Amino acid sequence: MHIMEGFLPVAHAVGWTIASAPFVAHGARRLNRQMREQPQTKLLLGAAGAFAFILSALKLPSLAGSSSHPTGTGLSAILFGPSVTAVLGTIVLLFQALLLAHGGLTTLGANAFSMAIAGPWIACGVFRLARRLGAGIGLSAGLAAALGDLSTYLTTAFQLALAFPDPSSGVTGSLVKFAGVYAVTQIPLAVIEGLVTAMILNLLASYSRDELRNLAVLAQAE
Amino acid sequence: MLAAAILLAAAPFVRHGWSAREFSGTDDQAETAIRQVRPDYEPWFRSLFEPGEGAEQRLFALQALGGAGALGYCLFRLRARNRAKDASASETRGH
Repeated sequence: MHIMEGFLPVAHAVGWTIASAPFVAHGARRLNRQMREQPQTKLLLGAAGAFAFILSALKLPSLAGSSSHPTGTGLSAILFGPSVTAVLGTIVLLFQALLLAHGGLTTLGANAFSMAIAGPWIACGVFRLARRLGAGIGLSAGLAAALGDLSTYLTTAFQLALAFPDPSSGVTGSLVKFAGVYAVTQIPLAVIEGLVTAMILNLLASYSRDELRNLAVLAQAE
Repeated sequence: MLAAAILLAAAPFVRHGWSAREFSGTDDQAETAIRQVRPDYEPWFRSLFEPGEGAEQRLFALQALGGAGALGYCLFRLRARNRAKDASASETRGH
């Protein structure tokens, strides 16, 4: 879903960078506080970051006959919230832009907005909602990560539609076009991302029940 | 869950045959879509560093491997810490 280097007009590139910057700056403060106040969660933070690194490097084929990437930011959003995830996701994007020529510096703001901000906010919201409705952590995490993944791609489609409105049908026409490119490929991949995220969260829950209680991922009684 | 994930990842190969070449990336498809809407658009900035086709795949694999190593390390440490905690908890209960 990374918009490639140079593929957003200058005004859009600047606009998305300005939109993302406060989230990342706030996230950096939250990340610092997290490490200072709960140093015992550093290993979980490392695991969440590593997970995002792995998943965003995978290029998975989809039933539609094309391939795409999972985002991997759902796990971090569930564990540490969307603010901290804004930082982790942006680091992954920066790494890929600089070393893999995947995404880009001029499109970093827009890509951060979709993968490190919009997706994680949805994932975090879905997880909390599902938990409140009584779902277990596995199901909640699966739904959260899958919907977060899809939201990321829809955000990208929206960003591209804004930048490249169709000459006749406008932004809406373009949105349908770009969402069509991503959605079909992405739905099975979002399900995979949901399943994998649920598995790893279950594993983390068995290893560090206390930390997950402190992070309010698990209820005190669980 | 693991089985379902693997099945979903493997299913495309069953349907489309074992040739990664057929699976065009959505990023490329998005580029094509942009060119359809705005044939005159020229990217105004290029990547500072562009690996070749083969190198790119290796770099992605390297990223996944590095991530897997880091994740494995964190999980290993978490499990060890959890066991130590359990051991000391049962010790205190014993006395």
